[in-house]
Amino acid sequence: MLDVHGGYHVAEAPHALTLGVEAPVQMRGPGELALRVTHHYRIIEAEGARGPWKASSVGYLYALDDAQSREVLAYHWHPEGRGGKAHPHLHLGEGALIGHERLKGAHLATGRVALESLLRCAIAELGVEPLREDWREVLDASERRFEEWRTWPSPAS
Amino acid sequence: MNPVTQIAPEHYRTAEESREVFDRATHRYLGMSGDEFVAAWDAGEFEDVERPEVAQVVMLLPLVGRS
Repeated sequence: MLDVHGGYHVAEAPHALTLGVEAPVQMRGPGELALRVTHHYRIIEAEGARGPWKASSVGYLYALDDAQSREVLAYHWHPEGRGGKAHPHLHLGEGALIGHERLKGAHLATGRVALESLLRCAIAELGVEPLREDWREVLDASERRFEEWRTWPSPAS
Repeated sequence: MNPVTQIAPEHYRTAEESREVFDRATHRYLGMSGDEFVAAWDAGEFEDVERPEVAQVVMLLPLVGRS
């Protein structure tokens, strides 16, 4: 269940979408990975096809934890946050069992990451078992909409 | 099957429910209440905001009208 905190009004503080922040969502598969999602957005005025109002993403934290609740990886983007790095980045956590000491806590630069990309990776490469056979079509369709309507990086042509 | 336009059903939380979620999250990740976290945050007591537990809670500040 995706929780919507705030809704659809103009506000100084961003609104938030959350999934699994109280108890990470356990996903089927040998890796016993669990998902946490926090996504920030604001309602802003916009022009043209995006207007007159649009939801503008202003931050995210997408994370996978292992069965011991250790963070395996986390995609961060929190440009408005106090401290930390403003650019989108990836953390490899304790659950990733990284042997290179300097990688622990490092901010590995990424572009803007869609949640669909993380879910696709979890299924295709990390052994998570999808709940539906058409998972690839669902994620592809959702990510195409994201790429079409985003304002940064530039919309996909 | 859900339509392709929706990956997961959504639930609209009231402000009070959001505050309760925040409070449970601060207990889970940092062993303190939501109010205790906000007070400590405002006092600048969290230096490593990228520590996984802190980062998760900081990202939940909008649940209590903060950013």
